[in-house]
Amino acid sequence: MDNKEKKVAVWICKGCDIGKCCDVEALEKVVTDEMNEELCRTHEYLCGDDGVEQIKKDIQDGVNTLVIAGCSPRFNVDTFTFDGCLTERVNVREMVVWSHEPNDEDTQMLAEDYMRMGITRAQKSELPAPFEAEIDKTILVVGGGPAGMSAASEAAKAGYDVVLVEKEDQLGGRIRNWAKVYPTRPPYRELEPVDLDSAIAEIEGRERITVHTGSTIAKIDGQPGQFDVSVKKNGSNVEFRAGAIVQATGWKPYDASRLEHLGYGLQNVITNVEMEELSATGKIARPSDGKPARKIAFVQCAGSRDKEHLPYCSGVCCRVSLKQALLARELDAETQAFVLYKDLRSPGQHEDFYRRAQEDSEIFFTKGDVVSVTEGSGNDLVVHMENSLADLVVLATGMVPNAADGEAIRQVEDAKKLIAKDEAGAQLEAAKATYEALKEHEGSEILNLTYRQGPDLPMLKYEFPDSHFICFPYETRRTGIYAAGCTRAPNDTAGSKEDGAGAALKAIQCVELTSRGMAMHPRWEDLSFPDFAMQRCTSCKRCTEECPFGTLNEDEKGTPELNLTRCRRCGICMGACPERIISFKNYSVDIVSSMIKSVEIPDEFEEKPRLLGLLCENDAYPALDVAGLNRIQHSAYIRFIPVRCLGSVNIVWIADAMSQGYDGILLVGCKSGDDYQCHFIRGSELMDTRGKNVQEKLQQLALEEERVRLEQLGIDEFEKLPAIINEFAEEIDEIGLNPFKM
Amino acid sequence: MSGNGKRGTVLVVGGGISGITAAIEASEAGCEVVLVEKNPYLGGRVAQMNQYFPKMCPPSCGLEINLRRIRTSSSICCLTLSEVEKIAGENGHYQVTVKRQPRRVNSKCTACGECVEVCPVERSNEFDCGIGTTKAIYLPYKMAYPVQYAIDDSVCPGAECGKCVEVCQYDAIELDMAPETIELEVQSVIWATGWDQPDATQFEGLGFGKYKNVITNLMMERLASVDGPTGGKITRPSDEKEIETVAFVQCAGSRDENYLKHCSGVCCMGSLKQTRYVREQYPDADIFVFYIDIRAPGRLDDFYQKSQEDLKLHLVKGKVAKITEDSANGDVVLEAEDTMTGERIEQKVNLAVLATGLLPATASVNFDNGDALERDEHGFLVSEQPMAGMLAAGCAKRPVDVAVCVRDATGAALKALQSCGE
Amino acid sequence: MADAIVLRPDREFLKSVLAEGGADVKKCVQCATCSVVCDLSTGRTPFPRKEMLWAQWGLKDKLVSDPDVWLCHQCNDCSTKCLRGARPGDLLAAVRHQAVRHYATPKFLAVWMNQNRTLPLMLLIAAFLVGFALIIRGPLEAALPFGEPHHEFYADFFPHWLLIGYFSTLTGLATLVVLLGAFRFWNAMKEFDESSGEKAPLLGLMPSLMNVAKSILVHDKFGKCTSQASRRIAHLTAFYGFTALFIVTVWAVLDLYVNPLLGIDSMYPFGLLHPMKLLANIGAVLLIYGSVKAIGDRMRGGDDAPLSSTFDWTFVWLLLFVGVSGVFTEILRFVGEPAEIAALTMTAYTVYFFHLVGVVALLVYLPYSKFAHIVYRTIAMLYAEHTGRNVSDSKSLVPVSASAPGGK
Repeated sequence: MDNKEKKVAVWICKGCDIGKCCDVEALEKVVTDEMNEELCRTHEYLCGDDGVEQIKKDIQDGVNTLVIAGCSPRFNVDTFTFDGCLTERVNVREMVVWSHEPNDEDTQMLAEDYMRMGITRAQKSELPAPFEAEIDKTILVVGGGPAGMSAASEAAKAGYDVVLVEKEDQLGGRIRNWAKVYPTRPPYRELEPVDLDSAIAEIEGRERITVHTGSTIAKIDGQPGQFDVSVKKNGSNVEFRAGAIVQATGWKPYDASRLEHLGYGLQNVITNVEMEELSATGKIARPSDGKPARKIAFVQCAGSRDKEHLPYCSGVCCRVSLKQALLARELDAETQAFVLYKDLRSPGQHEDFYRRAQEDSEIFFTKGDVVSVTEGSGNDLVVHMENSLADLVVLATGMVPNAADGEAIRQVEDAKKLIAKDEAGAQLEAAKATYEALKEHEGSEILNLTYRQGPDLPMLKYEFPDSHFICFPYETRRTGIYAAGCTRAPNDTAGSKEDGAGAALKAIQCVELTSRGMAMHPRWEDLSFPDFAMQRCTSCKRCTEECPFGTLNEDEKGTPELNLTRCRRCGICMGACPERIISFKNYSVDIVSSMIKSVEIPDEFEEKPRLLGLLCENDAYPALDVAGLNRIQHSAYIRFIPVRCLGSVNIVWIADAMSQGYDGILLVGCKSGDDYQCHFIRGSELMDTRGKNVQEKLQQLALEEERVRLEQLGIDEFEKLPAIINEFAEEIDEIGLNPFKM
Repeated sequence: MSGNGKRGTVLVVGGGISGITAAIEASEAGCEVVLVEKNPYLGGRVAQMNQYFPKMCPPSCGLEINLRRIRTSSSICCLTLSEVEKIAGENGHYQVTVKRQPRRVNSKCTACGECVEVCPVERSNEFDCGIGTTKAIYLPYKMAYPVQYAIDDSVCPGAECGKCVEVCQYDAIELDMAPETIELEVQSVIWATGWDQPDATQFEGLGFGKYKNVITNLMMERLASVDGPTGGKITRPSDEKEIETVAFVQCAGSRDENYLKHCSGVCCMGSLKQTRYVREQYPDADIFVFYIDIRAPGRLDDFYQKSQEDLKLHLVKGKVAKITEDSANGDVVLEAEDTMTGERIEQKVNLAVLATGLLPATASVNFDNGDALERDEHGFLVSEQPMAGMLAAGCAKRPVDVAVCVRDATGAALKALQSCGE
Repeated sequence: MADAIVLRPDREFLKSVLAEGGADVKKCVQCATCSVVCDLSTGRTPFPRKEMLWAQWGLKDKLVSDPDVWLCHQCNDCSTKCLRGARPGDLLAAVRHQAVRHYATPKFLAVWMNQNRTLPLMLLIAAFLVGFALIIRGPLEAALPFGEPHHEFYADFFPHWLLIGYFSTLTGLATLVVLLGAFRFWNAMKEFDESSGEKAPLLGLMPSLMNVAKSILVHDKFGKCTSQASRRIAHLTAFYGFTALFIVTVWAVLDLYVNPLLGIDSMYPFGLLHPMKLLANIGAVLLIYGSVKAIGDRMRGGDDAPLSSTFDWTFVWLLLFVGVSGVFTEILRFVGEPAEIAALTMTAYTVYFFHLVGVVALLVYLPYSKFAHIVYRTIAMLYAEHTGRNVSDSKSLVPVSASAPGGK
């Protein structure tokens, strides 16, 4: 569909005070006389049955583009969605009549400007058509521990083909060498056997599941729905195609050799992992002399909850020690076990398991920090907390995710290239420094993705790859690749299994949505996708660098190669591109520029400043909506345009606005930093860095830098936003009008 | 190639974060979903929260995205004010009877709010835990979804008043709206019925309900919320005065055989989070947390470590067993033993917050064949339900935080997918 | 809390504590609810939370040198309110029993006295002791020229000189034993406090003693166990009953042997209206009432009822037996006088015999039975007063301005 055959109908709803608070006829004039859209109608109450009926009539008469002026686009979504019809909503309720002086000159101007902007957008936009591609729905599961096995079998049960890749020769992962696990079901009191065989049988029994043991990933090419996987299996390579990936590569115990102060290195000091192996032998013998260990001290939080070591708690060690204590008592009734803890953590129903352990008259608990463990006479160990004797000390060490840091590996590789080139200069020094700093990542690849931004998931806090671990725990920064189990967060066996199932669902969801040409969370319903006008590309690599999801690869010249199904439609590449060659059918540099220009700028004698507001549609826009819902007033001088993410703001818009005569520009994005709230990870930061160039531009134009302000806002700060707006309006008022007004 | 094909229908019971997640994940993977919620709004408990730990971010941020996913989804049907009445059938083929209470406001409502102006009746605002009131016709909360008013039957005089009907220009109000019964054919049911607050007045010696300045942690969430009864200003109930000292009482009823035998899992982090609310508003306030064990599992522990750096945050290992009131000024006196020093503590504070725990919500359903959902001794649903296609998710299963609820609900969605066939 | 012994729990001790009332001690999670709900618990050294920890770890030495164990009157508020059902109240009772054992010499008597298996043996021994007196009566009378001041019904059976001479020797011995125990207990307490750096005495011994006496006379501490009002009454009456009888006994001795030397002629046997007689009878009634009530309370059961072991039962039943048999002895005396009806006399003497056996079991076995608490509790209370550890001064972590809130 292109603009020639566009048939636009503009509807203005008078309900919800709109009719009362502004001059609708004047609005109609704007539509018909100024914007030359002859089809302009009004309705008392458009979202009612009658209104909708009339719209449908228009559509029957060939209308394929609707502009609906009324309530916020966040309401009546389904009411105003019509198949094959592009709908542009103009928010004159929350953003105009509910938040401004009724029937005031400025309110009217505001409404008229929003009409202009909305119609402009409608005229410029096209209805996105979903891309079509051959999508493979096979799920690749990397890692054959509890999480991976669960992911594989659950996905298969749901009717999907699965390929399970495990680097060891057998499935099962770490629990292979465990004697028992702590209770997973009511009454949560007794130890449970590790029933691995039936689980493995279940996997091998399903014809939908292909298992590759003793195998690693040699290479993963392509994109969701079209991953070309090459598996290294005893020498030869197995190749196949997959649609989405679950990474369940498990965990490794924290390096106990760093725990000398807790006696690791002494013969009779072992980790809880080594204790599992000892228990599995059916006899707890002191490593030093093979005598039965009759006094076992469990030192909790060994290297965990400690800034020097692991800052986090692994969540399972307390219950694991309870288990190992009970096990040791089962194996030898003469054993006494001493659990030395900071806080004993047995959440939820596992409190009953704690009770069970307490009831054992030979298991002793005490709270306190163990400062050191040393050797006394005859290999007896002195635990310096209670300065007391034990003949075996078990360090309850924590878990470290067994994942590779894609971005770090990539940096190392880049550095190596530069060093290889050996062009003298600061760059080379920097490269050498990077290499030194990151060289331990060299060759740590697991997934071997052929992604520009690195061969594995980027690691975030504490080397865990999930980027939104509260509301959207499976969010990773690589579309269609989901971490599960201890790779995603510290987990116990039961938790890992649940996690595997969850990740599998996300993988299935990915292939399903992709096959419908849809995006993944959070813009799942979005059919639009970026279109690159390659002939104008200068290979500046900004888009490939800034894409939060590693969508773009580069050819050797550094020209971006688009992998559509990796794309999350945030538009950050569009914001990044200095040549403005990236656009979506319904969201482009041109569309927004035109909207900016469509606004009527009063000349300086009217002394009515005009401000432009670019709002993140995920958090800031809803906040402004709620402010309107609560009738909180804000300055009528500002004109807002919602953006997909602040990162999608192209600074040319700012230049345009300034030369157009706007007096100030307010950019409102989501909170950044460690606890960022941006759904596209770095929107505000990106805008901030681009803001530096903005400042330069302003200086070139001899304009005050206060004219452009970047604000970060939480969605719940609907009371703060109007205050920010008004305060900004005042500041601009003080600075004075933009000299570039014509 | 594999997968896909038309799928069947999943019933999700409960519109809290677990239910919403399960519904969305299942629908986006190809299922038809019916989401049943007994309140007039979606969001459940998280809607009442001010912020999430550890990021201190607003729940509405994630909810906004999720609700958008529901709004734009053609395969999710939301039934608010509804509860499952009866379930017939077995292994993977269930006929469900849903009872829907009248909202008395229909979908024509534009949330313009004129009705509220004229409504003469006030009701206690249970969304704000009874702090403050709303009119009989009300929007449950500022960002409520569906954005549609509701009328509280228990207080609305009905037709004899009818002021709201007169003022509504959109014929959105139907005072004579009748209850509905809806019949569903589903392949799978996800029970995401969430949790209830235990009745804190029964906690002997802690003075809740007796002393105004002893509140629950959920009340604290409402006090701290911008859209709460105090507009987000934390003041104490007795006299709306600012506070200089506040104490958090951990394990109020939890880990206690006389009340909740289980550990409620999230209260420790909940209280540490709330100390941040207080600290943000009162930089000099003395904050006390009386605990048995601080349970900040997994990655949450660094939040606890950060809290320990706050010099005016006093963490005392010892349970508060007695609270009395200084009738002179409404201060409350907490008694505990500091088990680290072995001294008995009597601490007077302006406000005491009871970290009351999570009780599994007991959605009692009668199954035709006399079956019942399997629960453990604490009342939580067990993971493996005997009936095929019956699944539990979130806090109905065990007391956990939002992240785990979402993880759990996503997994449940996949299991539902399985019983919905290919 | 650093102790070298911590990983060397006294398993034997732990086992016996677990066996005798402390079965649930391991359930404790150290939340200290008990220390707070206890109305007798003190500010500086609250209990019974720390005792629970020590018991869990089998730290006998700490427990037996801990006065707080004896400040408890077992109202069981702590047990009913405990989060885990660890029953601290019963634990303390069990520990008190262990303490009595610990300070008794010879220990085995304390063991025999308090286990059903050996208790009959102990009673036999008591009977033998009384019987032995009767056996040696003849030879003694023959050997030493004792002039019986006046013939009297029971005296004919068990002459006063013998009664008093023999019993005071035995009781004297018992007293020595228990005082030795008390002495060791006192030192243990002192050592423990010094080792843990407690501050010097707060109150002189004499004034402390006065306070304790006052407190005991009105049972004010026990009075704080509001939930156990009836047990307090029982204890109070039994206590006064016993005291009354004790006084009468002492007076009788004076009357018989001291007054005559002072030229006051003995009034013995007292007539029914003699104040001493009256006091004796009132005492008897109180003692019986008290012990019956005590037994009732223990039998009532319920969550707050103290858990009762042989240690407890032996003592209360003994009290009752002594009381009742005493009364019968008295009644029979009037029925049987003058000794015409042989049968009656026989009965009277038998009852009297068993009464005396009871008295032996009560008084002579005092160091080994629960009766010892009369000494140990008193000592503990005295020590608490003396060191000021019982001052209930709870600490406030941060003082709150009275004008709070709303400083800003």
